[in-house]
Amino acid sequence: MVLEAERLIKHYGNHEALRGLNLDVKEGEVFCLLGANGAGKTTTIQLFLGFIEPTAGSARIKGLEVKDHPLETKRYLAYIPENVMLYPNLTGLENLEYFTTLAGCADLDLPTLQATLQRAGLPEDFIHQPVGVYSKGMRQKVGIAMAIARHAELLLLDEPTSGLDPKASNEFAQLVCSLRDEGVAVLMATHDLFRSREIATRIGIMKRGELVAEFAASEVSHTDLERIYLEHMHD
Amino acid sequence: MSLVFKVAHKEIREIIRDGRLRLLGLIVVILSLAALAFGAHQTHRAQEAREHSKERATQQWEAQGEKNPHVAAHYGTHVFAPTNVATAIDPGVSAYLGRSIKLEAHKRNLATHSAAQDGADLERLGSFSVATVLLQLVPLLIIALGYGLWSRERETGTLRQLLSTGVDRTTLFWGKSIALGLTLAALLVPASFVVFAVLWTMGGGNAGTLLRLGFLVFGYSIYFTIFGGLTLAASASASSSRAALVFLVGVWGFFSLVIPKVGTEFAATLQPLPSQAQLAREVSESLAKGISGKMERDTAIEAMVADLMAAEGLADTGMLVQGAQINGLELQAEAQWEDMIYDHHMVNLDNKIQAQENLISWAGFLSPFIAIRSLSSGLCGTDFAHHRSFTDYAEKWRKELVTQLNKDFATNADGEGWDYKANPELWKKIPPFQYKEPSAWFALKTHALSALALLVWLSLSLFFAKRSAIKVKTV
Repeated sequence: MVLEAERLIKHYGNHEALRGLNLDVKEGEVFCLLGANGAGKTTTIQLFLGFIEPTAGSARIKGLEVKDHPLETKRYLAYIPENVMLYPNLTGLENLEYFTTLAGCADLDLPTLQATLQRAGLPEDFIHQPVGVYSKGMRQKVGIAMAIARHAELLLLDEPTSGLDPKASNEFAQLVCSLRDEGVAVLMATHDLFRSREIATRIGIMKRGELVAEFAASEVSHTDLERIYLEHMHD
Repeated sequence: MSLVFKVAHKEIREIIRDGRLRLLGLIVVILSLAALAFGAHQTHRAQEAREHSKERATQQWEAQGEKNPHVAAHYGTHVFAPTNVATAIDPGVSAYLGRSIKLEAHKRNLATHSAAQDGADLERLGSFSVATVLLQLVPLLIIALGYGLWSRERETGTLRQLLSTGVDRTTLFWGKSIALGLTLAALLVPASFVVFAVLWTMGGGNAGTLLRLGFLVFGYSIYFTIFGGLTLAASASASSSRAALVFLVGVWGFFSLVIPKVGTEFAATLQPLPSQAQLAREVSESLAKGISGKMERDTAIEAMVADLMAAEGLADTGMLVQGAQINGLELQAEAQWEDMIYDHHMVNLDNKIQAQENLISWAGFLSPFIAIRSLSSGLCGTDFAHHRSFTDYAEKWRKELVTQLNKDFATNADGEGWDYKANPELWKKIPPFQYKEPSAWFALKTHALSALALLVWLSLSLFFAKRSAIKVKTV
């Protein structure tokens, strides 16, 4: 198991953001977390990133407790948020080199990194351009390139296709699928039912900090997924 | 390249590319030119006035022709504290206490020729110098460079992206610290070399001055590191870049404006100094009635003359003592009486000023600005301790001068009495005024408390900077 949550609880004062979440993601599996705003999707990802500590329960990556091994667990993962934030005065290549070096991949040479950016779909003309001129889709591709370059075993995606145009969103989904096929485990929080049905292995629906439904993506059609989702939202 | 230097390299690359370096470089050039202009002007004027007055004083002293020695003692001479590149960098208290003294019989004068007295209106308004730039403006430069090092990363979200790579916060902290230090060095080192080289050419110096400058560079490096640490701590802890900037400017104002003013007022309240008029009145009263106020001047001087005669073997011998010899001994007795009075009041005054200085030194633990200001003026030889060293030497020399002239009068006047005129060769026999400035170690010893305060501030700022970095929040 690459990622495991066991009775994971997170309180913000009196607010219960997570209420005993149980979750696991295996190698080569894409687990999509669906749910309304405030359901606890982002909190779950933040807990696995170690940016916040759980109130109770366990969040493990490759068997290591995140709160006890905050640096070691990050060696296995790559994180792509809704907006991949990069340094606008550095080029895409310089950003990639910087982030991968800090992640411990100092042995990657520039041609390799350049090839990685191209694999992630970044137009060649933009590789040496400052990131300040990039579109959101291009920045997301640099984020994917980081995951590829680092050979991450786990991808944590927090609404990564939000705000992308359909073409960019599709390209992004294709990249995630190719990584999945290479054995990368993916936990993706999203509002995009269509895209989640397309790339997920399993889908979970979160509501008020709990996983209220969980099923294989192959078991449902797009229409079924929308119906199930709305039923849970109307409860 | 280690991760720390990778982080530093990235930070520097950003500072260069976003235009901050160009803007701050321009500011440094303007400040350096201003400091250089003021420093050079001050050095040139001080040197010119000193050399001109010194030459004139020597010429006048040696060319006064035949004259009664005591009249020559009344005529007096001027002596000057040494100036060099260091005194041009930090004028310290010289601007207020002066750098020259008129030495004459019967009187211990205070130092004169301060920049505040001699200078133009502009200089009276504020003593701008290289030290002003280093003490007050460079910390603002550090704040401008560093206030967003953490907070901007948090605001733009790059901090989350960074921390998701597994890099530890300590690595980021050292990388950012090194970037801040190297950028500041790139801005200040070339400017400092130019300023020092020009002022050295004008003001001069020796090996001792170089040692003083070495310690000065070290002291200011610590001071800048303190501000760098505080800037990083505020940047990591504040809720936003704007909050960090406002906080840091507030801290700067507190350290360099509020605490120095409060400290000075506090010291002046605990150790009040007499006004010049009050001091003159007290001296005048003591000259007439003694320090205790219960002794008649003439009676005291008579007793002193008797003592001097006894010492010379002239008492109880039944010898007929010549009038001129008596006059000479009376002048010596008068000088002793006056010296005693002046020494009492001046030492008292100097002790009070020193006590004020000591109290202010303790305020260095409340503000690193005060600590480095004391240390800086000490290392530049322009603090009160150096001033006192100079005035004490000048007073000792004055006493020797007056004693030697009075002795010549007593010994050689014979029957001529006050008509006696000494040979002009006597003026040339007077040992030259050769004041040697104390070493840099004297300055360090005098300001050990300030140096300690700086080290305490350095430890605290690095501790808070690192602690804030370790606890830096991603949102």
